Amino acid sequence: MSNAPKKKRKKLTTKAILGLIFVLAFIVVFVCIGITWRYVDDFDDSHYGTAFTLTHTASEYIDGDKLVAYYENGETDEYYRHVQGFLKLLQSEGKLDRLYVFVPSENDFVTVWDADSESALGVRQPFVGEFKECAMRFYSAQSDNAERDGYFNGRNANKLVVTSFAPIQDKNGKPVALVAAEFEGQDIILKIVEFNLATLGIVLVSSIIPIILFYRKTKKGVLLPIKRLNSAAKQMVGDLESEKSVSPDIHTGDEIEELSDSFEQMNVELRDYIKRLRLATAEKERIGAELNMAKDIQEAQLPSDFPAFPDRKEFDIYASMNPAKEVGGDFYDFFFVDDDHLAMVIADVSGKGIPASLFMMIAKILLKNRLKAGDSPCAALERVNNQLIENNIKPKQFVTVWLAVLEVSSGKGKAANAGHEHPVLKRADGHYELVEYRHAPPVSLVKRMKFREHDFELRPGDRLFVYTDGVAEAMNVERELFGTDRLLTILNSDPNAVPRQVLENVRNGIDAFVGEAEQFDDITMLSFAYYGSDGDNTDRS
Amino acid sequence: MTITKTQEGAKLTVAIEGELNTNTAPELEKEFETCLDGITSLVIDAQKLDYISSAGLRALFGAAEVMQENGEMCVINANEDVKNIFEVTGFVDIIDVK
Repeated sequence: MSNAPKKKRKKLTTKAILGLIFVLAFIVVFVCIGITWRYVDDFDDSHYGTAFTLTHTASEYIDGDKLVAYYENGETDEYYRHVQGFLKLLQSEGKLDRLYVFVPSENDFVTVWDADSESALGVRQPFVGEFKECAMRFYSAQSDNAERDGYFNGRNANKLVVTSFAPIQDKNGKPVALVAAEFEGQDIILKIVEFNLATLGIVLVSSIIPIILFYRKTKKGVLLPIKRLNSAAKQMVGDLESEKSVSPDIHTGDEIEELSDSFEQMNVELRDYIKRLRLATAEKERIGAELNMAKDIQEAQLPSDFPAFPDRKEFDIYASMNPAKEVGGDFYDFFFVDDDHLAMVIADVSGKGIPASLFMMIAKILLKNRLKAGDSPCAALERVNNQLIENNIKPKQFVTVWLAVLEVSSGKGKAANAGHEHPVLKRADGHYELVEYRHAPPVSLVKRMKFREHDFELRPGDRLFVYTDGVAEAMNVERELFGTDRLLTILNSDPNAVPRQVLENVRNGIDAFVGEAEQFDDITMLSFAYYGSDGDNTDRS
Repeated sequence: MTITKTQEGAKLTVAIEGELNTNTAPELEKEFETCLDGITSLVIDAQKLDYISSAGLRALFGAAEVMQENGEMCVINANEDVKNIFEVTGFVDIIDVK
């Protein structure tokens, strides 16, 4: 066995571990995202209150009109330095990173105070982006009820920067400047990464033990039983002929044990079935072989060497039987009673298959015996009728028979018809035509029946065709019958055909007519051509 | 094939419609197995019988045999084709066809 397909298949164990790792990774990712978010949020929250209070304290404290003067003149005085000191105090008390006052303009702003620098007045700095937008919202707002989201929340390299603003107004209540307070989160990103790594480590280390426990439990409860079931199944398939049944022997007390029990039951039933199938197949083969042999035996009873009488120039004869099943109930026969008298028989036993074939054998032998003993057709039928009826079964089997005994030298003969199909006769100068007359009932129905016979005479060039109902009642897929009209048409399409050719023509005609339909009845035909005592049958079949 | 039975006392009339052939004859044979008890006169009404094959003749003959022991049987109203089949096959000699 090749291992190639096995490699492609992932083992259940590997799958289980991969699944666990996936679940774990999923949890860790969510934990890390959650932690990061909380951390950032906490940082904002903890500085929000302080920044709000300090900026508003400063904005209340500073005189807006004086501020405008400093901005416009660039000169400082006592008040300016006083405010400078105050801001410095606020910065150090509030643990702010920066506290400054500025006047915004179009693209830059002008610093008025900076808690860290005494010479900040008049310093210009760029005033752009989100910082500007946020600052201007406060600057233009008439009230100072600053919202939480009004705080500028910037990221600068690895630092988080939170800036809060408060406007300073002149005595008319017009905003002239902004106080800004900044907090910087020192190396905040780095801290978050460190924290996340620590969390990851803790989660991994703490989950190793449960994973191992879970794996061992799964292995014992699921993986190993499945492995055992698998090998039991392989063993079963590899050894179906064996009487011994395979048992996976699993007692997990759950669905797997149930599966195992079902498997065992299936195993037993399968073995039983195979055993029965083997017996049935052997029986079928035996019957088939016997049936084939029966077919051979039956065929051997019918004269089948053609030309049948190579040294007789007076006539030519040809016949065939095609059973619908292996064996059939039709038969034909022809033989010389003495040097000058030829007997011809065609018959059809009711029913088909083996029962009909058994009855056919008896009927054929009895008829031949009586005719060979010199009985006339009528006498032969009467005797055989009584013999057959003695051992008949119910419902009665019967046989329709047409038979004739012909004096070959003169062409004169006697014929009898016991319920059989009409013979077809072609006179030398005419067409094939049905010879219709009242028949006697079939043989083997009524005890001590009287049968009739009639005389006939064949002249050189005359032809005779007899057949069973398998010809006239051959059916096509539309369930139409072949019928005697079609038969006559085919016979007359080639009126001078030799007997062998006549049978071939009719057979081809029937095959063309029935098409795909299954042959329903035995098809038997006999064709006879009379050439007379001076005849020459050089064109014989 | 359709089989219609009409019983008047010990007289049973069986009307057969359609084709009586190898496929349908077993059905008629089965009917005869059960319905002939106590019947002294069996009439087969063949007015609507289109065709009768050798298997059909056999089924009728089976009934004729049973009736022979305790009564009589006849076939009536057969059309020309069916009558012809009875005559040609010689069954007119053993079944009463009117």
